[in-house]
Amino acid sequence: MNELLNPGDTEDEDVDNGSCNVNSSDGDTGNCDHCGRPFTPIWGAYKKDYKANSKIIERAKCKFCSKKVLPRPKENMLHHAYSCRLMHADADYDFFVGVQGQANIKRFFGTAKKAKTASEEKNLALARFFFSVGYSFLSIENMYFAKLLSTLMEGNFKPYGRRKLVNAYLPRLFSEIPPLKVDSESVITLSIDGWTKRGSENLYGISMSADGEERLLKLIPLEEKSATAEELLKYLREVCKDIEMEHIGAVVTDGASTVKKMRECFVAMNPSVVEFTCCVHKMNKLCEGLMQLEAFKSVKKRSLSLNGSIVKSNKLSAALRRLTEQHARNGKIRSLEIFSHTRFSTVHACLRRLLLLQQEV
Amino acid sequence: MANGPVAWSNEDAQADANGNELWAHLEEIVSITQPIYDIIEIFESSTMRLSACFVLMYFAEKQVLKRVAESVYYAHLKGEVAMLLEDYFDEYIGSPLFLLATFLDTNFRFAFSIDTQKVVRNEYQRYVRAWTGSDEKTAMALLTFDLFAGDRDKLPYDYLSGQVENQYGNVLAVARRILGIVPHSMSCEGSFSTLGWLNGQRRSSLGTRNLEMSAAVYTHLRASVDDRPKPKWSVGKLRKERQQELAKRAANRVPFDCRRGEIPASTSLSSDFSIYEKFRQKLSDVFADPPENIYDILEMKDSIVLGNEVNPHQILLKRNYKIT
Repeated sequence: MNELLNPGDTEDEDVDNGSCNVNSSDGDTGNCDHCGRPFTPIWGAYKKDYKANSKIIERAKCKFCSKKVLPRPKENMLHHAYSCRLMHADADYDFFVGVQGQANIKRFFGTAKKAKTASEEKNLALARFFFSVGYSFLSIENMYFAKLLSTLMEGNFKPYGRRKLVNAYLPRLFSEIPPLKVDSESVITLSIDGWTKRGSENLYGISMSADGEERLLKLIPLEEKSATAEELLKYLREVCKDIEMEHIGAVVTDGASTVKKMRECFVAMNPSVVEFTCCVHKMNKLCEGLMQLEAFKSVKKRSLSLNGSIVKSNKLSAALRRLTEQHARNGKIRSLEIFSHTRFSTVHACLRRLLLLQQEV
Repeated sequence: MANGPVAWSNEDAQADANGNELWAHLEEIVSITQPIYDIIEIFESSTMRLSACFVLMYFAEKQVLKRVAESVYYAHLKGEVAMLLEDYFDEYIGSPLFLLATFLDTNFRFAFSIDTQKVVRNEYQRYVRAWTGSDEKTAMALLTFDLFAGDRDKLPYDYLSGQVENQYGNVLAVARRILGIVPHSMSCEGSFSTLGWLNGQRRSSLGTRNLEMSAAVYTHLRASVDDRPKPKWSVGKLRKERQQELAKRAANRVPFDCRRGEIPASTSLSSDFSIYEKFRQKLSDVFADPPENIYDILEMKDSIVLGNEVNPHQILLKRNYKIT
């Protein structure tokens, strides 16, 4: 049915039939510029069967069941479309609901186009749902999910498989994302950082910030290569090909030596760009340094140990929760926090919460 | 909880929970590091500017230094802390680029010292030269800059918006370019956070290209519907809550005898004093009239005070802090 809805996609439509080889101006119906009146769109479902050594179309051959029908009057082809079972099997339900009772060829195709749009909208809506939540793609093939959709749509919709979701709809939705609007006075800040994917695959990401908007530009798998300054510079320059250089204002990265060297080389090539270390990373380092002071270190260690002994004990946690519920501040029940050693702010937040719950502890 | 029926598995932790020593020290440490925690949270905004970064770092460093010096238990560490802070001074507060950004942003009414103004002028010259690549244009731009430097204190804080007519065309262009730079790489961190979520247990076999596209689609889909109202919070309420909390804690605290504790007691003066004073002077030397708090550099007097601390971000948010 896709061929019917997108007649231009059909293979060797014109070549087989020996029609004109001149570039077609109307791809949908296989017409060419100099061959007179355009073909009716119903030909999208049929192949032309020419009379031997002539340009006269003798029969119309159904692309689905290969049955030959008389091409004139055109309603012959429409009548066959009503009855062709193979065409039915490949068609959208909406399409055939539209076809029923249509006697006029123009009205027929008007309905078909409308049905195509509605059906595609449903498919896209389903894809949008799956890409905006964290569900497994496999759940699109779940039997009960299909039943749910079928019930909601009163049998008019059947979900597609996960391969179609990832291979067809993901690139399509990706292509629909509007390009970032860069005004003539916008300044782009580029940043690059490393990340480890599940399965210990090392990746480097290049992202940009401009006018309060942030966007990931490129994700680079390192594979067997090392993350040298030269290699990273090559990737950064590749990304910059798509951006006007005059818009790039700065390159900001963390304090790692390779990226530091990379940004220095980049600035040497582009003097109008400035570079420096990310202030958040730097502040994290400062706090790390403060907490490494001998006097602070022992207090931090003891406090985190106290925090950990409560958080890790189910009995103590339950008792603390009971007490915090009794002393709830403004209806808010606060609990102790867990922390990450590499993120200072989480250590500070953890200590602060412990202090807040001093009475209960 | 410590006296309840629930048994502690860690006896040391139990002793710490019951005693006062650890709590008193912890309160001081949290108080010392609080300004840095506050600015880290603020820094992560995607509309952060170099000038705001400079201001926040300046006041955070000053606050940390002040709090250490006034600390009951850790005043003796002020030299060490000053040394640590000094390492970060040169990269941001003392950096010519950050100084130039702050000078060009009339939101801040700093009275820069003569030395700082020289540094700013040189940096402006270097930047324009690198940007335009022309000595002639640089010379022209410097003339406009000198005119701007003379009038800086009289300019309205929103001159950058371009709505106010002015004759500093070149300066405005440079200001927009420099103040458009985001001083952090949180865009990368944010993207990785999304990627980590997408590449979860149930989608662990996603290829890199598909992961990249998924992240882009996800961000686009979420951004187009994320028009939820931002949580509203009352500053007055928070301040009251904080003051009550502090008062309650002060009333409950048992006097701490430092001789019994393992943690070293404070010393009023130490050999580090000179380092501390030197760094304090270095901080002050940036300005002709060093500002004591953020009120000194902002016109707005109805600024928000959270607890006993100033929250500059709220002030910046209150003002239309946006270049159009």
